[in-house]
Amino acid sequence: MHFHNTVILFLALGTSLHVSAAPFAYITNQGSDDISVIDLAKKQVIKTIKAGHKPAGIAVSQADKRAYVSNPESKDISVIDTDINLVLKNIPVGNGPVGIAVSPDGLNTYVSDWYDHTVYILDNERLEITGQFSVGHSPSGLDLSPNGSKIYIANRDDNNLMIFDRHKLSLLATIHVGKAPFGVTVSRDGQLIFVANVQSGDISIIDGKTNKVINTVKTGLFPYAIAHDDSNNRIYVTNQRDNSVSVIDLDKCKVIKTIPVGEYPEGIDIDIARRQVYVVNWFDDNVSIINTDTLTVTGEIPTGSGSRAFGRFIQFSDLP
Amino acid sequence: MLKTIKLGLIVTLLLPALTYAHGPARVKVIQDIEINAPVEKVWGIIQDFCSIKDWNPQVSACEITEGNANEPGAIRTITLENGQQLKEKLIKIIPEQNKIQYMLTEPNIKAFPINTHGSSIILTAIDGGKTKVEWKGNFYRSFPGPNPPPELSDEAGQEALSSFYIAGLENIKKLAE
Repeated sequence: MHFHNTVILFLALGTSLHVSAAPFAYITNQGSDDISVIDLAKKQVIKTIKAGHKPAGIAVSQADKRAYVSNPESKDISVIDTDINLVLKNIPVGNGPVGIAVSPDGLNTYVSDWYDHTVYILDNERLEITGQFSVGHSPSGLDLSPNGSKIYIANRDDNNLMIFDRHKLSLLATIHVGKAPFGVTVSRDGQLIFVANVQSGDISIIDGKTNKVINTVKTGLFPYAIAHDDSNNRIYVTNQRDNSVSVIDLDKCKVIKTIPVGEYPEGIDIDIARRQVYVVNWFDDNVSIINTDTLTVTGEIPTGSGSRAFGRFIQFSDLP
Repeated sequence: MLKTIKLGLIVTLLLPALTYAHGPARVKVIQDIEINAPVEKVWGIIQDFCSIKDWNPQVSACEITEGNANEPGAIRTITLENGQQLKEKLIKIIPEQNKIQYMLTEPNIKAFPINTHGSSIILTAIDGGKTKVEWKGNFYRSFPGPNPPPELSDEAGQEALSSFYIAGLENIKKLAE
């Protein structure tokens, strides 16, 4: 497989050598069935990659330099090599793949299936589905602990979060959260888990050691996804129906600022080193850039139609 | 007729699941119209949350059934021409921006084949004392599984809502001009 990649890389280098440097954002566009690759330094789309039908979720992997995309309407995942920005394979999975996350070691990708109430496991080396485990109803967001030992899954229609042992695939805990949980983000040190409850309009903050909800913080309307900023001890939350991002201070456990962004903000990710948050606006077909020092929007990058990018969408690794 | 029976059967079979899962991909609906009348006049026609019964010919009645009229949180129950009812909640009303935002609170697929619906009407002044009215909405289809039948598909929802928006916009234009 590595030989295969190298060959493709040489071919690609001949025609379209990257003149850009990381980081890059991979934005799923549900209306145009493709992925916009954004050079975040240049603030522009440098390539558009065809995906499956209505791509929703994204999991960019630093470890194996890939982007894994869930396509709920074509019932498959597209695996993209982010060095060459080409699809390596489309892999059929379940009936409605939505949430997607890669283990930190780059060995597996986990895909929640909205209709099958199951999480599917992809072997990233073989590019085959090698397992699955049953979860709650309409599983949506999922994330892994930084050491890769645990998987956290929000079950949207059960109002809970499930925690699984990644290697034994055993259920460790089921935690009741707010109404219609969707996005899940584990803090960078693994100590806290943040869950966005769409219908109750709040964030459940869970202690990663005790598996208990330690705080619930009100946000705007329809909070959807979360980015954690450990340098400022904050989280940023997209509020779909408020066209805003709530900035929550984790010491005070309250919203310290609400930043207007585009319409229907959904996916959100952070570049802590460069102090930027990127917000994907589904209705406006663009990405808003927030500076984490000033907490203001400093620019917008046009993308494809119906941009969603639910998951971690930034590739930080440079070319080899 | 056959289509109605088939739809009815599907509705019955799916009802228990309807309040939960919806289609996997949200769909946009955007319609707009240019009106030869100033923003203030157009805003005057639509600003009351229940005025939809006066300007949308597909709505035969509207009543505030919860909360205070024209305050966020108010719920209106609208009756469509076919007798089906929908409950919608006022989310925001911003007179200085001439914007009104509301959402469906519970689906009724005999009214529209959709599970959720968020919607905004925004007025913008344009040159020569004219107004652009934009009606933007989004929905998830109601069919709670893959491979929806045509009458419950994304396309069916888009068609039904587009027709509803267009009927309203065209009539606002008539009333304002």
